[in-house]
Amino acid sequence: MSESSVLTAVRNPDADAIRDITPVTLAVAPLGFVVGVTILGLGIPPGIGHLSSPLLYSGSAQLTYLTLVAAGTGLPALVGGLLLVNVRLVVYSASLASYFRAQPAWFRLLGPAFIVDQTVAIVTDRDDLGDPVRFRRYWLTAAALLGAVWVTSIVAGWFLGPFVPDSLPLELAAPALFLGLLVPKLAHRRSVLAAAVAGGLAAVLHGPLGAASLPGAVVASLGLLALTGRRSPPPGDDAPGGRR
Amino acid sequence: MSLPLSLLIAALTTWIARASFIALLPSDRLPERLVVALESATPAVLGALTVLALLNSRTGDVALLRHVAPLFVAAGLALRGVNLALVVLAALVTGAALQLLGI
Repeated sequence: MSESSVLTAVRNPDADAIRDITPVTLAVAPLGFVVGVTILGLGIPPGIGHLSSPLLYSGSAQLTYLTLVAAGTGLPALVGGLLLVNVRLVVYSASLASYFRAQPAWFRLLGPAFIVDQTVAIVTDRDDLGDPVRFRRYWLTAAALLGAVWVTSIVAGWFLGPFVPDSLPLELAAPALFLGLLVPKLAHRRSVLAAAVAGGLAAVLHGPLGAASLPGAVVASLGLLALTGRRSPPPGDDAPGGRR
Repeated sequence: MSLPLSLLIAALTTWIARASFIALLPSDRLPERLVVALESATPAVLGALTVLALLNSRTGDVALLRHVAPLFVAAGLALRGVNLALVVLAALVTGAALQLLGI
């Protein structure tokens, strides 16, 4: 057994998950705060508003749901709006499918509930999650910690939102978070191309398509990569911590 | 439609999207080219999300610099491997400073 294999076998997946997700949870807290303020501003019953946090486990899905419900939207439009904003979750599902193949049935049903940009980002940054048990522990630990901070920050926003000064530009938290998650992934030309094409298309489609610009941009970007059909270069040597 | 029912439907819809290729559809029959393309799925999604989040954060007549400059700071720090929480904090501080300076 190689030295790196031994190190992988003995490393605690829970400790790795906590180490990887902690900075992400701190970065996500301002977004949760904004969601909490939104719940208060829309006049949604607090029980429904706060229960939507763990049940939807996604800021974009939650804001879409709350906004449409507050506007009195009917069921078809509600489902349609959620499907649009959740197309990227389908893409994530396909990209993570290999991690779930050797998992027990209960985890294949429960585990996907925690698929969101942040959990996907930390998983795809590692190359030592091939063992099913290790991945399961890593995934659930990261998801639990992220979920706890997410729900807490939403509750904090709901209580403290009215006291936050307008000079604090919380609207910058979302683009800064996504940019911070994106930059470390731009290690290969195809990753840069994928991000650039999707970002450019999103900018162009934002005006005419609105909420549909995200799935349109992502699907078009991946379609372009599929057509070119070349495999990305293999990752570099494993870092001691198993991160790419 | 009652609110609890709408939330249940919303949760189910979101779960279906997440579980689509894990618990519902066969993922091992995806075309090879699509599998290769999906290796770049995360940067593609994050690239689109970054741009859309920036566009959605701009309201009123706020100067473009007030939104772009903090993201340059964030990108620079992320390139240097700075902790993600500090990256976001730096962006917020930069944005607040620009706002206080009247930019």
